[in-house]
Amino acid sequence: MGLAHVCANRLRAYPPSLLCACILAALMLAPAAGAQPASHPTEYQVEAAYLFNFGKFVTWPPDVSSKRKSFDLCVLGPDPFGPVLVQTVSGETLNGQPVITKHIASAAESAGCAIVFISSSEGRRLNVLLPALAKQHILTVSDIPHFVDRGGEIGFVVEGGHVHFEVNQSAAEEAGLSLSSELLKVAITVRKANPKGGR
Amino acid sequence: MQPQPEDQSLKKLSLEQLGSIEVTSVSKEPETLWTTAAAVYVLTADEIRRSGVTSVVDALRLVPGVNLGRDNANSYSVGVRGFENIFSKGLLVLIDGRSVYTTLFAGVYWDVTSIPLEEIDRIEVIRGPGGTVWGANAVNGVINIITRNSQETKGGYVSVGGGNVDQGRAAAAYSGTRGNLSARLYGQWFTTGPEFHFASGTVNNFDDWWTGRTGFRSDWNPNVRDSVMLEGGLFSERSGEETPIATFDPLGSIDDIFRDRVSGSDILLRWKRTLSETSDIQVQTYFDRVDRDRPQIGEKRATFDIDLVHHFALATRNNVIWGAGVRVIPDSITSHFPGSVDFFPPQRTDALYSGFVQDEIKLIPDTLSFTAGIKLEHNDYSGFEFQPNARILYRPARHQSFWAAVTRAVRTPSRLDSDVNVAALIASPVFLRIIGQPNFQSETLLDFEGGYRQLFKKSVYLDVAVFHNKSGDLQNITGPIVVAENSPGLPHIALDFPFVNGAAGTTDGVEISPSWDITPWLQLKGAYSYLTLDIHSTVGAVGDSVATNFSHSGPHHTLFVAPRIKLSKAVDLDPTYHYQSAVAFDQNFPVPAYHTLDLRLGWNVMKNVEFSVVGQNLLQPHHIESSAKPQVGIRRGAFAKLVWTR
Repeated sequence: MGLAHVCANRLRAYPPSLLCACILAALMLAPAAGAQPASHPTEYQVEAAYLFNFGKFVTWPPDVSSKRKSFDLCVLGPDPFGPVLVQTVSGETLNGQPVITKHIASAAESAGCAIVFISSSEGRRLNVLLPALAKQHILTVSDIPHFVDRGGEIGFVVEGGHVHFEVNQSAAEEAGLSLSSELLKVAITVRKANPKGGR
Repeated sequence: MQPQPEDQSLKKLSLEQLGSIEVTSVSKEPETLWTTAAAVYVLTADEIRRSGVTSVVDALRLVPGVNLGRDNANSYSVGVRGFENIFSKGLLVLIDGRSVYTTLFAGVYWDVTSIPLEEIDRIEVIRGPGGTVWGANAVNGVINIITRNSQETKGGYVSVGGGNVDQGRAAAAYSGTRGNLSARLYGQWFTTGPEFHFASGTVNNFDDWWTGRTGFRSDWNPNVRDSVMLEGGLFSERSGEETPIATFDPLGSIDDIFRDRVSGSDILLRWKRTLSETSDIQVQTYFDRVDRDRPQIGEKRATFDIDLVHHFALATRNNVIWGAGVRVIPDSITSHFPGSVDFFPPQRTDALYSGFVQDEIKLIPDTLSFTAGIKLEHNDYSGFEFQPNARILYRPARHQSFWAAVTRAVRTPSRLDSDVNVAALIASPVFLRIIGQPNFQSETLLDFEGGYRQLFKKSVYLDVAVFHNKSGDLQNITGPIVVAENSPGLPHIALDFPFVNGAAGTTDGVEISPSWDITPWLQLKGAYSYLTLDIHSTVGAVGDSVATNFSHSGPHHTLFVAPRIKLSKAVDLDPTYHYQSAVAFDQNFPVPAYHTLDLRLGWNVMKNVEFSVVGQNLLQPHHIESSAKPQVGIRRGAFAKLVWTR
C-alpha cells in the first residue's frame, strides 16, 4: 500500500526510470510470504542418491559382477556432483563390494566401472561413448536432455522442482543388464522397443 | 565444503521417495562457456520464451553487448560493439551453419531470420571477431542461430497470437520418427502493422509487412558413426519501404513508397562422421536463393557453398581443427531508375576460397590451454586475406576461468563498396553521387580482448569482458569531383564522392553480465556495457562527417535488467528492462537515450497449453530507435499468444 503510494507520487515527477524501479520493488516484495527456505537439496544431491540406489535394482551378468573387487561409480567428463557423490557412497557396500567413485575422461578408461554417469558436456560424443560402454556391460546414466532417446539407459529429468528418471529398457538389455520391476515402475517413461535400431 | 548429512539421509530413501523430494536447481551455465576463450553468450530457448519477444531478431536484444534498433516495423539496425546501422555490417549471421550475410552490402537482411521461435534450440553470440574458425566478415561478431534437432522433438505444436503492433502470428510444426530417421515440418505466417509515423496521412504508414515461411529439418543416424542432417525452407514476404529517388527528367527527387516483394528458398545437407572419441570429420553443403524487389533495384542472388571440417587430437596435448571451403555467388541486379541507383556490372559471379587451421595446446590439462590459428581466404575483390588469432584460457577451478585473445579480422569488400552508383538530389540541377570503387580494400580490425567468468556459491554467475580494438581502412568518401552531364535525362551537374578506405580509429569497452538464481522462483539476469568509439577520417575534412557517424554508432551505456519470477507453479511474471544512451549513426537524425520495459505474464493453463500476454515498450507511447530515414516511433504494444504442444 505504502510502496504503491510512493511510486504513484514519484512517477508523476520522474516518469520512466522510476516506474521500473517501483515495479521491481513491488515484485520483490509481493511473493515474499511464499518464500521457500533455502534448505532444499540440490538436484545433484538427489541424483547422487539415485545413482547409488540404482545399483540395488540392476542385475549385471554374473561373470561381470563376480569379478569385481569394488562397485565403481564413475563420472565421465566434468564432475557436476562436487563432494556430494563421495559423501553419498562413503562407507557403503553393494553385494558385499565397497562402493567407490572414480573420474574418467573417455570410454577407454571405463574398465571396471559398474555405472557411468555421463556429464552434460559429453552430449556431442554420445554416439561413440554409448556403444563402447554397452559392450562392457556398464549402466549409463546422465542428465543430458533426451538421453534415453539417444540410446542411453537411464536419463534424469528435472520437472517441476523434482528429479525423475526415464529408462531405456532395450538399451539396458543389449548391454546385458536386467532392470528390476521396481525400477521400471518408478520410471516416468520406459522405452521398450528400440526405434533407433541398435543405437 | 562441509560434509552434508543430507547426502547420507537421501540415499536411504526409496526411488519413489527420491522422486518426491523438492530440489533447488543449480545454475547451469553450459560447460563450453568455461572453456571458450571468447566473449560468448548462449541464449537458450527458455530465455527467449520467457522474454516474450516475437521474433528471432528481437531476441538478440537479450544478449549482453548487442545493440538493436528497429528502423521501422520491418527493418532492423544491429550492432555489436558499435557500428550499429541499417547495414549491420561486419556481423556474420548463420542459421544452422548457413550464412545469411549478403555480399550485396556486407550486412544482413534480417527478414531472412524469420523462423518460428519454437524451432530455435539456442542462439550463440560471439562479441568481437570470431576469428579463424568462422572466417571473413566475422569482424564485430558472430550470431549463430541453431534449430532443434528433430530427434529431440516429439509430436508437434500450434501457436497463435495477436496484438496491436504484432497483429497476427501463427506457427505450427509436426515431427515424426521412423527407426533412426526423424523429420519435422513447420510453417509460420505473421503480419506486423506500421509503427508510429510523425508525418500525418495514411500514405506514410508504409512499413507494415507480412511474411510466411515453411521448412523442414530431418536428422538421420544410420549407424553409430554417422549423422546426417538435411533441412530446407521456402519464404515469401511483402514489406513496405519509403525512399527518396533522384530523377533526371524532370530534374528532382520523388518519395517512392514501395511494397518490397521478397521470396527465397534454401537447402542444407550436413554429414558428420565420428572417427574416434577424439576425432571427427564434417562435410556441409548448401544452396540459398533470394529474389528481392526493392524501390531502387531488383536483386536475384544465389549462393552455393561446400565446406569440410576435420578435427582430431594430436599426441595427447593438441586438439587440431582444420577446414576448407568454396563459395560461389552469382547475382543479377536490375535498376528500376537508371542513373539513380545502378550496379556496374549488373551481373556478377563471385567466388570465395578459404582454408583454416587451428591448434589448441593443453599446457596443463583442464587448467591452462593456448590456441593459435590462421585463416587464409581468397575473394574476387581484395585477393588474399589472412586472419590469425591467438588465445589463452586459464581455468583454475571448475567454475572460474580467465581468457585473453589477440585477433586480426577483415571485412571483405561488397558489391556496394565496389560497384554502386547512387545519386541524391542536392538542389536542382545539382546531384550528389556516391561511386563504388573496384579497388576498394578490406576493412581491418586488430582486436585485443580478455575476460573472466565465475560462478559463486552455485547461484551467482558473473561474466566480464573488456576489449580494445584498432579499426583501419573503414569505408569513407573522398572528392568531390564535379561532373557536368547531358544524360541520363536532362543536363545536370553531379558531385561525385568515390568510396575510399578512409577512416580509422579505436573502440574500447567493457561488458558485465551477471545472473543470480536468488530462490527457486526468482532469477535475476542483467547486463551493463560501456562502449566508446573514436574514429577519424584519414582522407581529410571531406570524410569527417562519415567518421563522426562511426564514432556515434554505439551507445556509451547500455543497461539490461530482467527478473524472472515464478508466481506459482503455473504462472510466470517476466519483466525486461532496457536502457540505452544516445546514438546517432546519422548526425542529422540522432536517436535520444531511451528506456523500454516489456512485461510478460505466462500461464500454463494445462500441461500442454500455455497462454501468455506481453506488454511491449510500456514506458512511452512510442520512441525512436534508429537513425534510418524516415525515422519512426516504435510503438507501445500488447501481444497475446496461445501455444498448444503435443
